[in-house]
Amino acid sequence: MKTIILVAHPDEKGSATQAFLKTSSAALEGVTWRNIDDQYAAHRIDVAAEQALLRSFDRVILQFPMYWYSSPASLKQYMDDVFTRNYVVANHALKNKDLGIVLTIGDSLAEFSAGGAEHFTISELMRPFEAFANKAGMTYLKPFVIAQFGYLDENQKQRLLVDYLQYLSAKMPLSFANRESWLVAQLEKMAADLPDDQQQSLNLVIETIKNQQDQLEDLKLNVKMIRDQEE
Amino acid sequence: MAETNKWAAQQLQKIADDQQSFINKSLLAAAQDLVSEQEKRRQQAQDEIDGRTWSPEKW
Repeated sequence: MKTIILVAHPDEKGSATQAFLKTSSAALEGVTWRNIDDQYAAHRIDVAAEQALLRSFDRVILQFPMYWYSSPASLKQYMDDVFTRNYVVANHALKNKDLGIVLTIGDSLAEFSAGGAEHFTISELMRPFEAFANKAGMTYLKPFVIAQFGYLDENQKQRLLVDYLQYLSAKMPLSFANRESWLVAQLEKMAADLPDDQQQSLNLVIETIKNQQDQLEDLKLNVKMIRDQEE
Repeated sequence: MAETNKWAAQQLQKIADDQQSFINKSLLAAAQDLVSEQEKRRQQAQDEIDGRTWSPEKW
């Protein structure tokens, strides 16, 4: 799985959230971090090079803080420049890739609801990106929303980190079984770098998790069989 | 089964306590969550099998 994160942020270096996400994403192989604003600051964007680069990835992540219910201007500029009609529609260059949205917001997520202070859901507000994914033949992933990062405690940040890494690289949809195999692969990678005694105990735990998952799959099959006989 | 999970959770916590890396700590915490979720789902599936197998409609 190869993933590119296109970050649109006028001040990425000053953002604690983006720093957290950047450090986290560096733990994964096959993930490329690319700041769009840096590309525009250096020179006018090289459209052909950018189009060629995107072709080599399976998952494209658009990552940005919400500005007036949409993305910062740099992402719109990038999409207008790079996603030409010829590239997207005639050549189907993005077809079958995943399109993910990582959105950071300063307000409570609960307010993005009918009857809430913000009135509209994130899914409604992100609709133009979904429409683009549809036109491009991409698989649109459920937007990954990080609300009020500054208020998260350490435990919440740990959970956020793992959820984010899964959003970047786990097989979709993020079912329990897919999350389990992703986590086992990460634990196996970690175990290889641990001192012998810890490595041994982590490997035992990994075996336990795998066995439990097999048993769970068997039980699920049994439940399904019994249900099917009844209904 | 619950005993095995308790043991696994303890092992994960022990390894996590020795980790400096926030990423490793996070993955180990996620593994603890996973182990307890597996246990919960196993118990629910087992209860459903028991419930449906012993349904009075089948008596």
